[in-house]
Amino acid sequence: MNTKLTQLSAALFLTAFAAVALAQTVKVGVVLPYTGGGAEFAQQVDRGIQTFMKHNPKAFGPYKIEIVKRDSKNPSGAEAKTAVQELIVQEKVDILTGFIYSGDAIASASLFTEAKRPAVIMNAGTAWITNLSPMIARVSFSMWHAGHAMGEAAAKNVKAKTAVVGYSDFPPGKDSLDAFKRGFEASGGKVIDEIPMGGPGQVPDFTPFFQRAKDKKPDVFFVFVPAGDHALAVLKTYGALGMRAAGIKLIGPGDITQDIKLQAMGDNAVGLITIHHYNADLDNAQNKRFVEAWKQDFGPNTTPDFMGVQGYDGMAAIAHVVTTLKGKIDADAAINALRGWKYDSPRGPISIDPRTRDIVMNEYLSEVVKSGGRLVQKNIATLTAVKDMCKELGEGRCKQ
Amino acid sequence: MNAATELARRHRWRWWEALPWIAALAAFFVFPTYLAFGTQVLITILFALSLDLVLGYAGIVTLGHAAFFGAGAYTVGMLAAHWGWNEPISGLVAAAFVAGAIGLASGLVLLRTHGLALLMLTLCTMALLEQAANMGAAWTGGFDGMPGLSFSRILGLFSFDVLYFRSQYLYTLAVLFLCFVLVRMLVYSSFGQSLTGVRENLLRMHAVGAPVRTRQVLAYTVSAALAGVAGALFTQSNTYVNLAVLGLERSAGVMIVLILGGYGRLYGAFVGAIAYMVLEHSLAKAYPTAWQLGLGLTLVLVALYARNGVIGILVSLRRRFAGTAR
Amino acid sequence: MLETKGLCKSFGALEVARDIDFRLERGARQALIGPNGAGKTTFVNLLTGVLAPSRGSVLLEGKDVTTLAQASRVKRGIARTFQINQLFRGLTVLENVCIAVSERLSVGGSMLRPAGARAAVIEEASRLIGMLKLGEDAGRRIVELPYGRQRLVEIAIALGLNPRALLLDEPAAGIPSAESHILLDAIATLPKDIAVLIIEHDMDLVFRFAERITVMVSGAIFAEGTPAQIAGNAEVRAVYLGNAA
Ligand SMILES: Nc1ncnc2c1ncn2[C@@H]1O[C@H](COP(=O)(O)OP(=O)(O)OP(=O)(O)O)[C@@H](O)[C@H]1O
Ligand SMILES: [Mg+2]
Repeated sequence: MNTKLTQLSAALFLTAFAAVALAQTVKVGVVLPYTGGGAEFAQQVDRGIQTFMKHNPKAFGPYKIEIVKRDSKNPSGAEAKTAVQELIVQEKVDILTGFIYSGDAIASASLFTEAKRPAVIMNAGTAWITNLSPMIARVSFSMWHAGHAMGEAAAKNVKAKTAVVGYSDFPPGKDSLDAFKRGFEASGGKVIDEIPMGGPGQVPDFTPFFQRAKDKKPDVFFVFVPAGDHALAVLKTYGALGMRAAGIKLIGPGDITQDIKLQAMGDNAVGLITIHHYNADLDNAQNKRFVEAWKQDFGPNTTPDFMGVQGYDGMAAIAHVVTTLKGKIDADAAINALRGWKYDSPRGPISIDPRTRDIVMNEYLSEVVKSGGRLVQKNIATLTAVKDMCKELGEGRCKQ
Repeated sequence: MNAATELARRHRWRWWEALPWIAALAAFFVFPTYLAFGTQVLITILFALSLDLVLGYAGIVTLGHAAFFGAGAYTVGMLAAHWGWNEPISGLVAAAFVAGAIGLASGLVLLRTHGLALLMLTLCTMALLEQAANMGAAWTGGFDGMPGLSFSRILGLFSFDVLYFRSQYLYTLAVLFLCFVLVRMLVYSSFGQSLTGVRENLLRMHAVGAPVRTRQVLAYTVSAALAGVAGALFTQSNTYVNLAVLGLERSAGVMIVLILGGYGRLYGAFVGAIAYMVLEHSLAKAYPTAWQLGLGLTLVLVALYARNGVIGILVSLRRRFAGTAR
Repeated sequence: MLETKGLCKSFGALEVARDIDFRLERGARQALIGPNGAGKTTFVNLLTGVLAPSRGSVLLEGKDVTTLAQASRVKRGIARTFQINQLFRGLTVLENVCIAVSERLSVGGSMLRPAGARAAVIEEASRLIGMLKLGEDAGRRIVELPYGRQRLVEIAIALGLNPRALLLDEPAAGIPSAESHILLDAIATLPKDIAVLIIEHDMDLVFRFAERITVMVSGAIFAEGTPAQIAGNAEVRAVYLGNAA
């Protein structure tokens, strides 16, 4: 009996071994700023990745996924590039993903091309990143998605004729300005003033900028500032100068009304109109499942934000590549598999534009309203299948 | 040994001074997949070495040294991006000139002050440059940086190795060696001796008739030029540069590296950069989210028990050993 | 050769130099004495340019040097020691003296040649070190030396500057009395045309050394004369010598 047991276990062992050997392992290198100023973002993306892996075990078919994480530390690009280089030459990963800061993706682009490794960008939003290497596909957004859509919506949905733009003076701010202006003016509006409002590092005194905007009497005031303290100060100044009473609507990008920060903004935020590709309250089955899984894994007080969903969708894209290529990753085939890929994401239907390898997705226009003593975002319009208009219009570096 | 003979022989090359270079060359063959990281280490050594000249030798405490690193980094970046000047070695020379000129101009103003005021002013200079680079985003690329830089072959022979960093490594090593020979010469010269005088006792240095500020400004300028070369190598090896080259994080980081290795000791930059970066790199690989804890603890221990850095430990051990042997 | 005219200095309300007219002749062996806080060190600081006077002027061989920086006065031949050691504490005795000698020979800014290859500098420094009986300690760092020996390094540095006027601020303070002759011997070997001003509280040493004595009280010159005159001055005895003797 003893011998039988041994034989049996040996047989079991062998079959198990054979199964493992048969199942191709795909190595995925994840490059995120796990420490330092970007750690909070990295955590969102990383949790998105984990949520997908845990709750969609069948998505990868019989293929095994091995995740290798690397910290890209600071936004210099050099740390990320070294991480990518070592993931390629030492770990021999098949696919690269992550990339919060645009600089990290930009610096690494030449490596993707040279080593022929597909890279799925999970955040980095500078519009022209996808032009830097044919190996890049992006599942996150570009600064133009929200900016241009907001311009259109301001004219069509908010029915504004004139707008003033105030922006923090750094690339995302300027991109947003350009994008908004193109979208707004193409839909018949007119931008009557553009006001740079200090850098992204320190919160300036917004009063002089807002007074200037108020004096122009626009229908809407589009403000692009970093989420957090900047956004809080913007709302305060908007309230203090009585701009709402003067009939000037405040509009902005969606990351300033993130769920966690919304309540802290107080009544000044009521009436604020923002646009974004995700919020945790989106009403669809995928999102319900996603948010529930998230809270179950990371605690009821945690909420996924747009970066979380980008990590989730990025893994979905990788799962698609792995199953399509049957676990043997060939770079060109992988990118071809991603071109035109469609997915039912928690943020609604998304796809990868076959031409630009950038994401196509919905943008949700919402207004902050008070309901039951709480501030909530009420969806007022959905713009469907929004593309990165920077590349569509061939603006600046986006020209191919 | 007689003190005079010892002083007369101090500047001679010792056999063990060949070891770091042999080791660096050996690393090229032994760790072919680590050369991107290795290049970063070599650049950090050069940067720390430039800081050693002002901090360790001349006793000028600065938190703005990244200003010169950044100036050099942007010089080669902008020359390549806007004027097609992508010959690497002349790029280094240009970077040294630009960074040196900024060092000279700021040094003439800054070095009238001491202590905290000086510390603040060095920080301000860097912040000023950072702001300028941000405002001139059309030229510098700002936060997004300058993508797609390319540099022509080194000496017209060796092209930059995108994937394995082989030529970048050897190129950086050669530049580091030349800069090291220069720094070594300066440190052992009468000029270097007078810098240690400035560091050890400013009042006395004035009282022996030394033009103290001229010496400090000169040291600051040379150091700035070398930091500029380090920055230029950074841009060339990564074919990328963005605003992060100018941050306080980089200034403070190189200071930690130098203090860890031991300042005012010529080889402190080597020991510090290698110890810090290898530790950081391997910890970060093993624990991508929590490595800072281990690194922080190590640094606290060094700060507590080895005020003069790793080299300081070695020197005091040798002193103790020599003391008992006598 | 070194002279002041109407020199004044005050720290806020405290007047530490009042209208000082002072002369130090070529080859003088002069002492400056006075109670603690009289302003002697301040006076040396005014002479050497560490402090700028509120009024009055300093002349070196007839030329006004009041606005010159310390370094240029040193170059013109004024050297001093400090009451409290001001040495390069982390460096060896030899290096300390070499730094001074290099500056005097104007090679301190030379970047190309190793300091160790400057045989003339090392030789001269070694000679001075020998003269002050510091030969044994030449290779030791200042921090490793007892205070008395450090005092001698102060003097070696000042001598290394080859001064024409040498100002010694309490050079013997801290030197064991058995060794204070080393100091006097060293001064005795100086060329006769060098002017030496010594500030000292040790009256034995003052009277052994000085040919002229200036007494300073509360920032003003109180009396001046030969040692015999000063010793015989009843007022000086009352304000200062009385409690010293
Ligand atoms: N930088 C300064 N600021 C304010 N007061 C000072 C300063 N330096 C010296 N003093 C004061 O000036 C006076 C003269 O000081 P000084 O050191 O010149 O005296 P001294 O004659 O050398 O005395 P000692 O014999 O004790 O060395 C003292 O009362 C001293 O406290
Ligand atoms: Mg005194």
